[in-house]
Amino acid sequence: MSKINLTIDNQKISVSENTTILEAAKKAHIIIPTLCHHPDQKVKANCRICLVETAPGKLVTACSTPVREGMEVKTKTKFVREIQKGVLELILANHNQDCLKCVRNGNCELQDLCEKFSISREDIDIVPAHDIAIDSIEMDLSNPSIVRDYSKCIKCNRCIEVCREVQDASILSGSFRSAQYTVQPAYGKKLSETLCTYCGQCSTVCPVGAIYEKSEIDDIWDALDNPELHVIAQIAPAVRVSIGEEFDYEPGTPVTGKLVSSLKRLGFDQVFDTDFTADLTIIEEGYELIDRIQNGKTLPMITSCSPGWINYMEGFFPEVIDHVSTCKSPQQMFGALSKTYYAEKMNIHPSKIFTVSIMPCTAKKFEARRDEMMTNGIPDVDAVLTTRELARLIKSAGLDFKNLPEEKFDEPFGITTGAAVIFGATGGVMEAALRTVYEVLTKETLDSLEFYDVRGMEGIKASKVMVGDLEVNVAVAHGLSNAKQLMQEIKEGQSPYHFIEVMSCIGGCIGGGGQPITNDPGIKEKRLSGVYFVDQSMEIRQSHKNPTITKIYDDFLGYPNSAKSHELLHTHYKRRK
Amino acid sequence: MNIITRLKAGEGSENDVVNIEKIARTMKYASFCGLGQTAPTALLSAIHHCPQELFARRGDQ
Repeated sequence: MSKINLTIDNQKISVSENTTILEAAKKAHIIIPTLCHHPDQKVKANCRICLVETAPGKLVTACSTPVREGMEVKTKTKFVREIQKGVLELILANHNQDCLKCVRNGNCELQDLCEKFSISREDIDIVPAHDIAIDSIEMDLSNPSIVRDYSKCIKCNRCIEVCREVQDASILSGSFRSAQYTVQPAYGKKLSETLCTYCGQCSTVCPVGAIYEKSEIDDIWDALDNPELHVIAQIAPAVRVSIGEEFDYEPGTPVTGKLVSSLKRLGFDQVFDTDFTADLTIIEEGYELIDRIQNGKTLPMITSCSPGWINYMEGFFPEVIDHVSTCKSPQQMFGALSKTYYAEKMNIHPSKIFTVSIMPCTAKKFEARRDEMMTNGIPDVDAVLTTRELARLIKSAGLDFKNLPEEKFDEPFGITTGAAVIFGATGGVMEAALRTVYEVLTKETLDSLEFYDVRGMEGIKASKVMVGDLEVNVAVAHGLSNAKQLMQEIKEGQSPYHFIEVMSCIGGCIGGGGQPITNDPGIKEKRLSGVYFVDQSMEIRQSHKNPTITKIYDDFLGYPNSAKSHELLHTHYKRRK
Repeated sequence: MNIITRLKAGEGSENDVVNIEKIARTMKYASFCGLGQTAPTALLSAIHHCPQELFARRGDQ
C-alpha cells in the first residue's frame, strides 16, 4: 500500500492511504478533540468538534477526511480553536448542565472537552440565562432497565448506530430536523412501548449522561439497613474481570477476592457466585440437548442465558421459540434456589431473603421483573446492580477497593468451576456445555478441555465436534445482528446446527450493557483473556465435576430435568408485541 | 432566535451582536452542508457592513 506524506502542525508524517486526518494525527501524537467518533463505530462527522484547518480559512472534520499527498494540516490555530469552542458552546447551550448530579460526572466526554477548552461560567453565560431553555422531551423512565434523559442528549447518534447496525433492533432513530432534532424511538414512543431488548449497548456508547441504567442502589441501601432482611449477593462471571477498570486496574485483571470482601463490608450477609448456577445451567441445558438429540425433538437448540437475546427473540423471531432452551438464566436459577433450597436450609422465610445480583447487564433488570420469574408470588431476584452501579456503591461507601484483603465466596453457592467462569465470554456457554456433554455421553475423559474454535471475537463461529460417533454441529453468535443471520437460517429450515449459543452483546457478557464505559478499542479482548485466565487457574473446570452440584441434585432436585427442576429452573417464552 | 427578535425590536445589546456574530461564524465554518455554510451570510454581512443600523433602532427609543 502506498504511503502518503503530509504535515500536521509542522510535523512531517507518512501514513498509509485511506487514513483519516484524525488517525494520522494520533500517530503524530496529536490529540484532536472528538465527540461523535467512537472506535467501534463508523465515521459520522456530525458533532463538528474535530475541525482542523487544511488551508487558511478552510475547515474540515478530521474524523471523516482522508489524508492527501502534501496536505498541510493545522489543528490548533486561533481560528480552529475559536470555531471548535463555538461548536462546543452551541452543544452546551442545549445541554442540561446539572453535572454534579449526573451519573456520568467524572466520566463524560463533554465534560472533558469543557475542561480542555477551559469553558468557564462566563462563556456559557454569553447567552443570557433566560435564553437557555433546555428544549427536550420528557425523561423516559418507562422500563426497569434504561433511563433516557433527553435534556442531556447531544445528538451524536452513536446510540442509533449501535441499536441499528450491531443489535439490529432499530429502536432508536432521529426524529424532526434542525433545532428540534431528537434521538428517540419512532413516533415519540417510550422504550417500554417498543421492542427494545434492553441490552443497554446504547448506554455504553453514550458520551454523556443521556442514556444510563435505572439505578437500584437506593433499594440496596434500604435492604442492607433493614435488620429483618437477610441480604445475599450473587456475582456474575463477567463482573470480576471488568470492575477493576473502575478502580484503576489494568483491564481484564480479575479482582474476585476484593469484590467479595467489599460486598461483605457493605453489609451483605452472604456473598455467592452466579457461577454456581452457571454450572447448574450447563447440567440442565446439557441434558436438555442430549434429550433433544436422542429423542428427535426440535433442533437446533439455542441457549437462553442472555436476557437481551431472549427479548430480541420474543420480539423479532417468535418463530424460533421452540428452539430456545427452557432453562432459566443463571441469575434466575440462583434466585429461584435462594428462595427455596437456601431458604429451607437456613430456615428463613423466603420473604425475608433479599437477593441481589451483580450483573454486567441492563436487560437483567428487566428479566428479574418478568412474571415468569416469581416463585409462590415472591420474586426470585429482588434487585439487580450493573457493574457500573456496584462500582459507584463501593466508592460511595468509602471502601478503599485496591487495598482490601481478598476473601472467598461463601458456601454452598461459592464452589464453582472454570466452565462457569467462561460464561462471561462469547462461546463460553458452548465450550462449557461441550466439556460436560462430551463426557456424559461418551463416559470418556476429554484430553483437552479447550475448544478454541468457539473462542474469539469473530461474529459467528461454527464448529463440528465429534462426541463419540455423533457429529455435533455447533455455532456461536454474539451481537444480535449476527444472531439474526442464524435465526434466518432456522426460519428457512436451512440450519445445519444442533446447538447454537447466542449472546446479545459483542464479546458476550464481558461487553455487556452494564459494564464500565470506555473508548479503549482493545478492551473486550483484554476482558476475554481475563476470563480465560480465571478458567485456567480454577481447580475444577467442568460443571458436572462440581461437588455442590452433585449434592444439590441428591438433596433437593433429584436428577437433571426432573419435575422439581422444571418447576424451579425452567421457564417459557411468549411473543412480544 | 431570541437575540434576533431583540435586535429587530430594537432592544438588542452590544453583547447580543457579539454573540450572534459568534454563532453565525461557527455555523458558517463548521456546517456540514452548503446550506448551513451559506445561511448565516446575510447576517454576517449585516453585522460587518452596517453594525450601526443594528443599534439605530435602539437609539430611537
